[in-house]
Amino acid sequence: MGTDPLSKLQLKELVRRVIVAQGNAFIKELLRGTTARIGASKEDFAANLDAAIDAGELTQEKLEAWLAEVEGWGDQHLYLIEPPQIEPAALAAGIAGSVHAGVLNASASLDFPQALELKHIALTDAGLSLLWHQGKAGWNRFKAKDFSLDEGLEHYRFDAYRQRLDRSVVRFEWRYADAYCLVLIHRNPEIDHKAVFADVRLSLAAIGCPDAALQPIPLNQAVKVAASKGKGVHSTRFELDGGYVEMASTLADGGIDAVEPVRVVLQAVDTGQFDRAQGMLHFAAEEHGTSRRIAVQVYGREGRLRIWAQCKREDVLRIVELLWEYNGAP
Amino acid sequence: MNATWSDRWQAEIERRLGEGVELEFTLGQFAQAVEAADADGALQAFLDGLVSASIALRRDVYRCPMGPCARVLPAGMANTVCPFCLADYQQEGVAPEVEPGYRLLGESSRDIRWVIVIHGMNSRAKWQEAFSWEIANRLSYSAPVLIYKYGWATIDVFARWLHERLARRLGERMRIAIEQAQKSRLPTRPDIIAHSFGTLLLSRVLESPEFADLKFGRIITAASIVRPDFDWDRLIEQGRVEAVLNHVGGRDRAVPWAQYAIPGAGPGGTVGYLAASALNVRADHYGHSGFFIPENLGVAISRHGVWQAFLTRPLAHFRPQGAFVPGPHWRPAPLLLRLGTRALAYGVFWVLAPFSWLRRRLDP
Repeated sequence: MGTDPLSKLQLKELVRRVIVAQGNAFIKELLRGTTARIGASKEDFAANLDAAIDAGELTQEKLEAWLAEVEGWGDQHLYLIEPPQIEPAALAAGIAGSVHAGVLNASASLDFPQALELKHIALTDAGLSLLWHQGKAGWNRFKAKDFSLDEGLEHYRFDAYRQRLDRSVVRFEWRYADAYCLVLIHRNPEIDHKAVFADVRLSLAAIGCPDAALQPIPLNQAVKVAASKGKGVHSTRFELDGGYVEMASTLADGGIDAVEPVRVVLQAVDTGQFDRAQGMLHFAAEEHGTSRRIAVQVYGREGRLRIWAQCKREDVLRIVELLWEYNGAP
Repeated sequence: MNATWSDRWQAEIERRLGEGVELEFTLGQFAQAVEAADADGALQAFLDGLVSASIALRRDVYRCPMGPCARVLPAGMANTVCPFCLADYQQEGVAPEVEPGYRLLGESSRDIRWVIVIHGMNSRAKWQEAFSWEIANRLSYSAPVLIYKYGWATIDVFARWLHERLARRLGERMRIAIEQAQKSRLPTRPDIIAHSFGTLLLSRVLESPEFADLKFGRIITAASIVRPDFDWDRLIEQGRVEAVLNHVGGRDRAVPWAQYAIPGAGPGGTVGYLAASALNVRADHYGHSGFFIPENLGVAISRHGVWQAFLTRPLAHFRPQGAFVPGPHWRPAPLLLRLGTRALAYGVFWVLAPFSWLRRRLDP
């Protein structure tokens, strides 16, 4: 894969695949950047995006910039890990001399192979970004195609499933100014996170980083501090070897803070006594500076987040910044 | 719509707004609370009427469609997978169920996290211990109470320079307590209950530039001898104080005389505070220390008592019995008269000072 331009036909193919996987809000945002109509359904989006490509308004450059912002960001798992022990200045030479030299600054790939495959490397003065693709097929129950059949004395029932093709994206992001790196993994439950970690490790080693297991950074303190701040915490679970306490709001909007009897229980918990913490936190536009309300499950011990909403790169980075700040607070 | 039902629904809405609890609910949850049917069109019309009147917001709430789970899904989700039972809705060929959700536009209740209590003059203030015990028993959570004692003050109140010394000690103690609270992850703003001469000391702390960094939550002054024109509005506007409730005794015979003997004092505890943001409440049958008679104290700090309600409820809907607005034309007693009586009191102070000093040495 090089930096060859895609034909209009290839661009349309890329668009069709993206539409299946992306949230409508983000596709609308892409269409708003053109003079094309927006539409209401996925079919409308596909037709209108095709028209924008034909009119030359939606170019490969625009599409790739948009993909970099939204694909592989949000509605996924995210791990905070220790940065590789390498001088960033040495990375360019490491990549150039590696088997992955060809994907440095490569254009958007249409290819989603069955196994995880490194498709893109971006190297700048500020950071390193690696992008893997994997096509994962799944089956969605599709009741409209169910049918039953009588044969002789027997009655048969056929439950229909429609194949789903997930564009599973895995990212490794290292902003040199941060004391952590991110590994972002598509939500597909069939993706083995250990296998992803092994692939990331191999790729990093191939571009010159020391070959070492990726070390997740625990986020227990982040959950504890978020819980003490109150607002935005929907559920928490504090654990130690001998037991745990768990509290949750069952409201859609309001967190524990909005439920007085639960809130006062949380205040009574000395979180410092617990070794591990996890919780569902909500990040709101007005309070946390995200573009929309985003629910995030934080698994403190694993250093893992499950981001429950589709969002953009800047939202994910903002959430991680906030959690990192909490994690470092006393 | 049946008037009795709608009255009942309205009463429930007012209760929730008044107490700052259960502000968010689905149609089904509210129906259950008021013992109505989920599908009651009149109830939904009533709730939608609240939305039209800007009393509530309406938004769709999504519920997991998987039978054993059926939990309300948190906002801020893509709603493709249940975060609780982890069912993938696309895979299961289902979609989340939608139901109307409402949020009343009001503040949530607040908690009493910790309190400083300051007593009055000429008293051992046993009420402070009683208050601490009662509040610990009545709240379902722990709220530390700092019982501040400055000794049995008698003639000391006649000397302004002694006030300043006592106020400085109070401010310093408050600062230490706030620092300790911060370390214990308690809020840095304590609520305060002050009585009589304690209210004057508190006002001096609030006015002192030395303690301008100290901020407080809600303040209750009982039998206050702070001047009615004390600028609570400025303190609230500056964020130094969240709110103030002035509890006035209708039979208080001591407060009206304070301005004639105690420098800087005034009849706040009978006239009320003139500040627009202060809340004045009169208990008609209370004398100067009536607030702290055990049965009265117990009522005040009970769940629906005026003190606990003031300390925990949103104030937008807080209208306790006995609330009043003082007349705007209060003036202090003539200056010459006050100067004369205060000079007399100061003279008494110097005559009795050696005895007071000795008494304090023997019985602080």
